Amino acid sequence: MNRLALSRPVNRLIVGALLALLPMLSAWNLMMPNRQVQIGPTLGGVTNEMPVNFSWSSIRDGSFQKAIANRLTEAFALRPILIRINNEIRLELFGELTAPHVVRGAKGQLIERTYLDD
Amino acid sequence: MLFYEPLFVTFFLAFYALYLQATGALAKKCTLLLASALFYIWGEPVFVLVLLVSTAIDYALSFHLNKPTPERMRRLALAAGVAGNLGILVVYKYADFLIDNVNLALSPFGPHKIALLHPALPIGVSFVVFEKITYLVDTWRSVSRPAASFIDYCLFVLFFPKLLAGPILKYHEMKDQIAAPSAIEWSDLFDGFLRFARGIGRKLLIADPLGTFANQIFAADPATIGTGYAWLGLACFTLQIYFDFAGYSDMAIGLARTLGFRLKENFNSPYVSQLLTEFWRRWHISLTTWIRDYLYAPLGGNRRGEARTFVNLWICFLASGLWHGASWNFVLWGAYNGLFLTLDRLFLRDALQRCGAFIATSVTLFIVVIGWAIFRSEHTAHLAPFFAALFGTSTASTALEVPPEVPLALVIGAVVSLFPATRLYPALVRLHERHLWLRLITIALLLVIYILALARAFAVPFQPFVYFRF
Repeated sequence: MNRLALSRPVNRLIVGALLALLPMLSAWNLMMPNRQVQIGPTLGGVTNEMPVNFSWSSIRDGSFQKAIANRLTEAFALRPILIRINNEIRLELFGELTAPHVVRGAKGQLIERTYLDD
Repeated sequence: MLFYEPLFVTFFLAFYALYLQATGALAKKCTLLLASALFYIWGEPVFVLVLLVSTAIDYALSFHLNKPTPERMRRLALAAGVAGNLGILVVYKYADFLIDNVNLALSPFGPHKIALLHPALPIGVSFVVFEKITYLVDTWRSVSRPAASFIDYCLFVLFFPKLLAGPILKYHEMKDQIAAPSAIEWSDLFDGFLRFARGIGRKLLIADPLGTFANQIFAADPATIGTGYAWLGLACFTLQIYFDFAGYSDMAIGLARTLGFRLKENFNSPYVSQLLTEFWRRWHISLTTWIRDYLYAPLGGNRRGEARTFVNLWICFLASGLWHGASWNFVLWGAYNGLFLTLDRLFLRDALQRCGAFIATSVTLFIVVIGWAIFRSEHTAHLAPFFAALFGTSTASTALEVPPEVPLALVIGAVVSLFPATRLYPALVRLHERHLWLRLITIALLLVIYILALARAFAVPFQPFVYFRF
């Protein structure tokens, strides 16, 4: 049998453990909100946390699922870097500013609107 | 749950880590069934009960569909099974449409109206019902035996990669893979992932940006949009619907492949077709072949003379239109396709074949695009003013803002869709098969596409797949 074949239990175990890393990081981030592991730059925006209400009516109307999905999105370890990549590409390719309170000044400088308002 | 949501990515990886460790057929099937059931319960916690009861009824009926059972009993069991499944569709999808039309028909006789039921359309119901019918009909035709166990049949119905929007599986094509799921090889993992990457790229990088603009055009009052914008919106929708649905199919086929399952292809470069008949052999192949095998053939197909063939074609395309949604627009779209397929058989096929590939492809694409205008319009009243805008009889001159990503997505989408029609394409395919470096470039490109698409998925609000509505 090929030593690298995925049919070998040890190989399956290694691949499984590697694949489980990301879900385990998400679980860690959910359980330890103060010691979260996030890959990428710190995000400036704040997301309103929806309360997780576990009841038959909240499951039926989908609000429970939505709240859980939002929590998991926040806890996803690669979220900061992925958002950064998206923002960078939108700015470079389309000149689009994704941050709501940022404007483009002279020579393409990015300025927070609050400074202008002051 | 969308396949690129963080929730799905997280749970799929956790599930896959477990699934890899399962070796026996029963362990694999149970893990897969549990994951599939949870996946559907998450989106449809109530309808899943209806689906499970209906699945149990199918399974019980299937033992009365095979040969030792008397013919009359077999027919009765088949009719009951098919009617039960279609009943689910009628209740959840067509009830309000039917009531609305009955109310309209009865309106001259008085003000009394039947109250609408407002049932929520369960995700994937049209796909699942058609798949369940294939089980009953295949067993009745003796193409396959009843499923070896209820677990097998439940897995066929609930198999999560195809559950929400197909490809529509036929039981006889899947029974062996379901009875004994194959061991996962490295090639399954890599090829499945690359296929998934192609799908997520098609959906998020092409379909979604184009869809946003198409939605804006089709939501606007057609009297206020100029000809250029109307055509731009229609072009965006033409590419959006292809990249959205083909993207979903890629993701479904890719996910299934990572699990060791091989699903049939659902698209084959449809916009390069040189005839409408050819288009329907390349577009949503699993639905077209379903209609051919389970509706057109039982109606007699083309075996009962030309007139009956035309009638059968019209019935099939009206049914296909209605399958897409409970609205007169879809019926009209079905009739439109039925008309051009009839014309194909009468003279259009010969005429287009004489014109050469470029003209034949252009004319077919034009017919398809006009069909999409009927398909996309929310109601029939939208059609006349929208066609007036398309063909320049509207005087509107409102300027609309075209998002900066639309032109790029439109060009890439058009090139990718139409490139297979060029002479370069087969040469490039041969080169790709011959040279490792070209294959490595493709893999690198798909990896970049995957990262870019996932990055967009995190930043932009989720846009459901177009075919989730059906």
